Amino acid sequence: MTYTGVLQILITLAVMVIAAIPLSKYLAHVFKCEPTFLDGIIYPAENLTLKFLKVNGNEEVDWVKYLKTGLIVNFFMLTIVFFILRFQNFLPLNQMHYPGIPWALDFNTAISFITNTNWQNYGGEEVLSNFSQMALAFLQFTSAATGLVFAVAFIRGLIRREAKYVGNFYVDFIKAVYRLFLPLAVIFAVIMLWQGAPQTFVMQKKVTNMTGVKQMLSVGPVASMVSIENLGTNGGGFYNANAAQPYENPNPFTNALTIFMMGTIPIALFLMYGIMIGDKKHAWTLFAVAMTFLIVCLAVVYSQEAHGNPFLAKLGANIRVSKNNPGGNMEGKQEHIGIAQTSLFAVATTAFTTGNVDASHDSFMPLSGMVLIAEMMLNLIFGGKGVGLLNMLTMVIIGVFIAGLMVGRTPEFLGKKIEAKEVKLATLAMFAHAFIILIPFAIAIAIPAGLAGILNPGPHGLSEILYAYTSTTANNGSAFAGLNGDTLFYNISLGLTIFFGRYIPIICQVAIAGSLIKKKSIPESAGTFPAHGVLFYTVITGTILLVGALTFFPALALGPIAEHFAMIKGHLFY
Amino acid sequence: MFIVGKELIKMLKLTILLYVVCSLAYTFLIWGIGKIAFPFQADGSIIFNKNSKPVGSLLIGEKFTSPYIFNGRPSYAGNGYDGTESGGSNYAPTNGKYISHEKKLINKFLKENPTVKKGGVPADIITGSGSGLGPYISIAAALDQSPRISSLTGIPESILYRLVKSNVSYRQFGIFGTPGVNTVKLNLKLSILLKKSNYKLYKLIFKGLV
Repeated sequence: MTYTGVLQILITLAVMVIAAIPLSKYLAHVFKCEPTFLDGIIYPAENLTLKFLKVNGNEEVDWVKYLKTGLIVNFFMLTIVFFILRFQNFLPLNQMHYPGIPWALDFNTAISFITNTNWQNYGGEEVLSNFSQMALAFLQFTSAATGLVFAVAFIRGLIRREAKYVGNFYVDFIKAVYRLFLPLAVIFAVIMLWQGAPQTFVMQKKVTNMTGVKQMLSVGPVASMVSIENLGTNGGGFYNANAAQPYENPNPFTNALTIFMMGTIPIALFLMYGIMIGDKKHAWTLFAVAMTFLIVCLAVVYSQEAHGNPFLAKLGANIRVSKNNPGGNMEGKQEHIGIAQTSLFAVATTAFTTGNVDASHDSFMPLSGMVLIAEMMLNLIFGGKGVGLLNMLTMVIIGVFIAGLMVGRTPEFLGKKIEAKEVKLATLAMFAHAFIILIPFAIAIAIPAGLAGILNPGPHGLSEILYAYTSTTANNGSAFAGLNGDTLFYNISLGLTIFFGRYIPIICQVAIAGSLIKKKSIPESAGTFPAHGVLFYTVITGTILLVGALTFFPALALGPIAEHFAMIKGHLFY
Repeated sequence: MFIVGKELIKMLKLTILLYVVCSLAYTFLIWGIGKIAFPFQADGSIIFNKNSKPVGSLLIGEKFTSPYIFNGRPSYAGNGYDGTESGGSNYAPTNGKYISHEKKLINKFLKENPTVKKGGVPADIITGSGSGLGPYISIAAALDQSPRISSLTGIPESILYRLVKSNVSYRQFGIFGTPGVNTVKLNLKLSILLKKSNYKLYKLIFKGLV
């Protein structure tokens, strides 16, 4: 670890938090339907859209209908993209004549993108036409907007009292796209373009290198996809190597910018929640919980990666950092981006459930790999669009319930009684997440079709499979990419974990909102457990640690932890 | 409770509208901006020789294996630096096969560059980048190759040393990243030096392409 390394990490994080503050105010205005500075341009476009859809913007619906509308719209979008990929050979912008995507891979890909997961069992530049890549960019907008509006509906459930309606799905959805994702995507696409990301409809360029070697270069509409893939915390890149491919991430500045794009909106959503419920202290306390986890994770990953691989040192490599030699574990990392930026990127992409990678996670040190898996198991360190906030609030409900049990009082949260129904739904959401990871994982390591995909022997192979099911269930999409997932077994099983991992928790959470919205507000009293401050922080952090550790520690012990201790003892796996 | 046909049509319309806006219109807008404002970057930062033939991209590494020039990092993209198959090795740090493979790479580097001592091989030059397409190597990795290139080409070591130093990409804005050397730029400059000092060798290695 170096001072310059720590400094560039701190600067990137600080800029994110500073930018998230005004953004959160803007978003709170948008979803409370208050005037914002963009009204002049966007209001007419929104009105036109609502007219075209024949939607009455003032009409609100209850949570069931809100959810149903969202899910059906998701289904339509999934279907369109499924068919575009399946029949890309009949569609334009396919100069390389790539064939249609086989159905199992197509199923996996379409589900993966509509759910904001962006798990990729294919190499983008090797199988997809530019037209198909553009179709995926469409889902990157809409899946992010879906997560966001469900979180907004949930927040309305918390603030409205003795009410029924949570909002109008169409209005919220269009606002999320027109007022947040589209304008930001354009701005950041232009910055990425300026920095070197290509934007063309040509698929490949042929060059003859200076030494006479013929080289083919894959290009395409990269800049437009890179910006929304990160702003929407989707993470599905244009290229197989994603942000490790220099066209997607040309330099260290774009690397920091990519982290900024991933993290700013999720952080802003925590703060927006505080503004909307009128309790900023509460939101900042949750922010502190998430930030603590982020920093601890970062410290582990950065120190492990900077320390490097002891086996290589023994063979004669210099893994110590010096003025001219970056040292550390450089396998799968870009030299000019460096260990510090790469560590932050990896921690950010798993915290914000983006899943974009600028290095091979499979080649990280065992404990770094463990931290990345653990972040996705928790899935609430700011998390993806809306979903991270929902997961955090689920944990808050469980936390205040446990605290209520300890003092023998009916738990309250934001002036509402938390009763059996909410706790049951919250527990269901939490356990669903764990079950959807661990059961398919157990099946995969018990059958030949699961074990066939492994690249690296020993406990690391186990980690590869664990990473895959955690990443898909958490809708992250990053991978220990040594695992070959493009098989019938993995395409289907990972596709299903993506599907259930996304929708079961979301349905439970919106249902909690639907139940809370009907409740009366109870006045605060001396016995009310304050939803901010050190005590609240401790209870929530403790709950997350307890639940997370009890559920996932055994799996982690068999994979990365075993690998780490074997490595210390100098044991290699064949 | 049930969703009626009228409602489904609204949802379908929303889907199609957003597809047109977010997939087609958005991509074309950025494409247009690229055409007008950043044509070089939009095309992939392609560099051309004096005959206007494309020789590579400033951002993408090339397969430099000749001992006469600066070599890049090992690449696992296709058969090495294949611009259509980006990817890393994905080897785990405890994979025995990987470590034997690394042993070969380290010994090869030590043999090719006898001035480097065991224990001094830069960590980046014997490991693959995440995409297999990164053009950068560390300053140490470039300097360590200078004595070899000097003895093979006759270019004095001090000139090569200065060449490396003048081509270092430092931290952006003094903050971001790790200093390194872009091998594509470096070897282009090397070709100019070689053209002046040893035309025959230049023809042999660079084939008059740059």
